[in-house]
Amino acid sequence: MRVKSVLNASAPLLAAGGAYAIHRYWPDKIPLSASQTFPGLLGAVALVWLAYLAASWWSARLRQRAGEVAPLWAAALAGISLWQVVTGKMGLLPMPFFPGPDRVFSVFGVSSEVSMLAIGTLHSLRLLATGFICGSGAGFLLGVWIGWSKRANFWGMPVLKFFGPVPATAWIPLALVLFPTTFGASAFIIGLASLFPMIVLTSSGIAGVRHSHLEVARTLGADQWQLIRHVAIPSALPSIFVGLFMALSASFLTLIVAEMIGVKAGLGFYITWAQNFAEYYKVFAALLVMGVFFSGLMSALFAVRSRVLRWQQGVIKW
Amino acid sequence: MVDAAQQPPAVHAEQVRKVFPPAEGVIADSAAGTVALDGINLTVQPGEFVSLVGPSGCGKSTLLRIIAGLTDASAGRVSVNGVTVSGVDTNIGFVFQDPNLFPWLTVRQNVAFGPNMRGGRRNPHAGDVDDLIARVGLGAFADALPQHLSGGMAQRAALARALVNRPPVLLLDEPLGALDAFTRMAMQDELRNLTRRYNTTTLLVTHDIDEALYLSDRVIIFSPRPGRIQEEMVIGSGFTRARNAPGFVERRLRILETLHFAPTEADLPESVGNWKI
Ligand SMILES: Nc1ncnc2c1ncn2[C@@H]1O[C@H](COP(=O)(O)OP(=O)(O)O)[C@@H](O)[C@H]1O
Ligand SMILES: [Mg+2]
Repeated sequence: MRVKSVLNASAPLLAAGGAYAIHRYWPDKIPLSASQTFPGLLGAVALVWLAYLAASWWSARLRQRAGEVAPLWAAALAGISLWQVVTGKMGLLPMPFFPGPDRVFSVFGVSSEVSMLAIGTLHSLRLLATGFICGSGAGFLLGVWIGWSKRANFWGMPVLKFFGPVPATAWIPLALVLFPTTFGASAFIIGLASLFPMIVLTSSGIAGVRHSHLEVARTLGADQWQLIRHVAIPSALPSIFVGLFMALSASFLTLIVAEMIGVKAGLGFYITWAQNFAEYYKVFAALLVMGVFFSGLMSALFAVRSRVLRWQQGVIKW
Repeated sequence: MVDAAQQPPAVHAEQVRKVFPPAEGVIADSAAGTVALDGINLTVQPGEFVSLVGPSGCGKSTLLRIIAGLTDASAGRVSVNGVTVSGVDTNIGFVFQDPNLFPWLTVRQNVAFGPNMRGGRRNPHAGDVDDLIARVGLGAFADALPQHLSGGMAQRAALARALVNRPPVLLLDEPLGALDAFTRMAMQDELRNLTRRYNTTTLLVTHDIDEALYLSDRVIIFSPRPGRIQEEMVIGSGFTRARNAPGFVERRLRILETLHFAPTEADLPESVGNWKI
């Protein structure tokens, strides 16, 4: 039992060592990048893991957590190593479309590239935030209205049914005419992409509020606005969060499309730009950054949901 | 000077009739719809505790909902404390069979819901929240979420939530129906203490005849649909409320008889044949 857990805890170290050995000693088919970023990264991962283990000496919670994530860390390192074997070491994939990790990570060792990626990320974030917040905010308000008022539902639903399925990107030509800047047009498209899932899920959540909860609230003295604010919206929150998740994924997609075809900044733009120079290792580097960026935003939304919907845990498992 | 006789009745219903029009998916008694209540006359004096019993579907819930202003009567007139009912009014507390606690609020927040909707901290009853929670025995659970409460605890929280507004009139629609026998008896005592303490006029719908006899000053027996008041039984203050007292058993049988559930001679074993009254 002990031996097994020690082995488990040291697996990431073994994997990092193995990956380094492969990088260093396996003969290359395709010349290795001169950059030392990749081996440096392997070393950094090993050090971080050692620090993690050291910290878990004092904390039982960290120790348990370390035991849980150790196989994942090891597998990730093994996967990266396999990627290097398939590309640089064995030359199984055509160049320059499939560079190895040594080449891709070399991007993160060049300060001009790092600052371009960082600025690109900030541009993407600004555009995404503008579009997503406006779109899902408007979707929330319209959704509450359509979900609450029979009349708004009567007139709004057909419009929603008709325009809802049209992909937001189909509005690009119109958006370019309507807005003086590509930023405005792109934010509008991203907003549209978040608008519809938000309206649909908010309104169905609001319409699904238990009638008996509304009656209880009325007998306790709630007026119309208080019913909406203190009963309908809280009870619709689970559905509203599903809408937010759908809106966020839709806005990621739309963001990258917008940046690849019109906006002259951002991660999507960086990718097309690198592609034009056939610098595919930069494309992959940008994809990695995008992965971190998007999954970070998703995780943040998950964290908010777990906090806000704490009352729901144990009622519905998710 | 207003003496007791001039004080308007707490609840007064006059010739109340309710017809539910036929609707899709609802089985109606006739093409004209379902007559749920007909010719209901009812007067409840301030501080009185009155129970309504009757076969299921005879319109008891409908009557409570009309008094609470949640449903309109088709004909007739209902007033509470002398004021004609024209909509939901916070002078009336309502407890449903299902506790209907808001699952996203803790017990304390649920109980504080009424005061919060009506002025928040400035509401004179905002300070009573913890007191009432303690009174219904949930002091240790004030910060618990409804999902962590048992059925009896949830119903006590619902009772506290309805009472914190200090409504002069309390309407209870089978509030203890879903509870087990022991919890129910404990809550009956609690209910009596609370309504006595605040001198709350109470109308209780129940299908438990013992409960009605145990708690009420007056029991009103409904006929099957269309609901009409078939008989009234005044219990009176001298009545021994022990569940096995002779008067208790006798009255229970009388109610059962009115509801056509009284045991006939043939139902009774030889040895208890002399039970008949
Ligand atoms: N919203 C409604 N629409 C149509 N019929 C209803 C509605 N509410 C109650 N009824 C009918 O009215 C009658 C009385 O119902 P109810 O007051 O709930 O009876 P009780 O509470 O005595 O069991 C029943 O036949 C029921 O089906
Ligand atoms: Mg009923």
